[in-house]
Amino acid sequence: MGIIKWSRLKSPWILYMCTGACNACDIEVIAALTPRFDVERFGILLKGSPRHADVLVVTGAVSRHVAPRLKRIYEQMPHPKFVIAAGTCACSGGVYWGCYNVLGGIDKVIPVDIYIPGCPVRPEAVIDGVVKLLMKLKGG
Amino acid sequence: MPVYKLPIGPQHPAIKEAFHFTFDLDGEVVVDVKPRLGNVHRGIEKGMEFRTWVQGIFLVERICGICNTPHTTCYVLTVEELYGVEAPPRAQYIRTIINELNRIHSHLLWVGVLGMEIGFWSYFMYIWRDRERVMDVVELITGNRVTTSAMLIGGVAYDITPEMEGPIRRAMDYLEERTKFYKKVFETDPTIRARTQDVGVLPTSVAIDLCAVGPTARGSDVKSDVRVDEPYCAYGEVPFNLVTYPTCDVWARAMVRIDQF
Amino acid sequence: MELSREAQMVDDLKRYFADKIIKAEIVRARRVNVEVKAGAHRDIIKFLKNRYDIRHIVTITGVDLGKDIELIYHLSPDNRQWLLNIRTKVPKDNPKIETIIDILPGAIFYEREVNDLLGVIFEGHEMPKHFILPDDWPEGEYPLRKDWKPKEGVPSARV
Repeated sequence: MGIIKWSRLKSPWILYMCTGACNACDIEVIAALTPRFDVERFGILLKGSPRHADVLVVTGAVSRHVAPRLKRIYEQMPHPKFVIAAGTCACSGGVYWGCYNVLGGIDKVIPVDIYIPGCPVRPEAVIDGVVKLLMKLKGG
Repeated sequence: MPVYKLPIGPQHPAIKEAFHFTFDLDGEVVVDVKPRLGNVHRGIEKGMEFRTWVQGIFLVERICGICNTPHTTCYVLTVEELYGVEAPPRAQYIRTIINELNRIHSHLLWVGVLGMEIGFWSYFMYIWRDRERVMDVVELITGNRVTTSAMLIGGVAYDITPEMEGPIRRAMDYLEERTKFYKKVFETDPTIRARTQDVGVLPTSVAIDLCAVGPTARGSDVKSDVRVDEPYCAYGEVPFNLVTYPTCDVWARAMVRIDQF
Repeated sequence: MELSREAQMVDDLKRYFADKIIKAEIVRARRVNVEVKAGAHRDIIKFLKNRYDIRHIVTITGVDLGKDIELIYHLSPDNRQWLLNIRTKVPKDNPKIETIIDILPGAIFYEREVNDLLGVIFEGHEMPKHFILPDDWPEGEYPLRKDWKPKEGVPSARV
């Protein structure tokens, strides 16, 4: 495989965004960066700007107010880009069925590559999802 | 000097939730701020109208995932008062224990995130590593780390058996040791003190006028703690300290949380 | 017999505002309910603030009763000894009520929320458009009114 693909596999940089979540998934995703689970051993770094990131990790059931902003962040990331939906609310709306102001799942706004269910998602499941994404990239 | 408008929007590396502020900065001093709320508005109050009483417990828990136990406790106590029932004493004590575990993990999280936001990443990593011990205890009792759904109308869903006592006591002893160390770091480290003392001052009279509650008020020397004023569950029978600090700045609010461990 | 602070407060209210109060009673320990006529809440809240140090407002609840909207002001004194609930009604076809933010500045956010979600207008409180609803929310739709239904239809409680 070429050097660009190799470097992308060895060190994907992530950008993290919360779209109207209850914050339980947020703290579990951040806990995945802390020493007990340590997702940084895969070369993953948490970056600040969408222009520097390869992977977008999104949590939360998308509320109507934040949906255009999510789309704008996605469009600001350079190609190739990948999206991980962490948590049941990001996959499908979760426990908020029937609530107005919730669109229900981020795949109504942007295309998603990996879905990680859980309420909240466990840090081990986040690591598993990231590794599966890397395997998918390696495969082609 | 002209004022510079800095938007901190729904996506920012320092924030974990989606809030939206526009700060007016004069040099490095924040002169004004305009919040725009509504990113996290999900319509939960209307959603409760379509749910049964028991389904409501799970929706109320997800109002905030970090502090989920106070929301469920409040909901369950209200429904019990409407029905005129009271949970048995053992359930009240178990509710108190689970609420206190939630408080410990939440304060550890807050102090760690404060360290992260001023750039002190090692403090953040150390605290969150120790916070995992609290999550282990919660997982031992209830099976889940964060949103535990341990409260039911009329009681609790999980029991604390004698076998759990050993691991819980060991985890608490370890944490007591570590929090003394974190408190010493917070009190003596010059960078933390320079960044948090006399920053974000909320004078006592303003805190009372604007009806601040909790550690925000106690950091401004207002003696108010709902566990003392209106004891619920077993708090009336358990002694603890009401902590206030007089300096009214960010340092005081953090010290209130550290002392409450 | 020495009256408790709450009982003294109820007595004072009945004495000074006899024509404006519909009902005032101590419901149980630490809970006092007062029902007032329309337009009387400002004077009563000002009196309570000066006389009994009641400066802490917990929240303002709005209840849609069909023809009226009932507003409940939950107040508490500085030492948090009791919780006082002041109820007043506004008609739904003309939901206007005077603001209290000059007496209790802590009520700003609560009045904005009731305005956004129930459509009650607080006279004297200049508030910008939407507080927590999104910018593109249609005018005149107040989600917390009982007759408002979401466009996608009403789900049933799935058991």
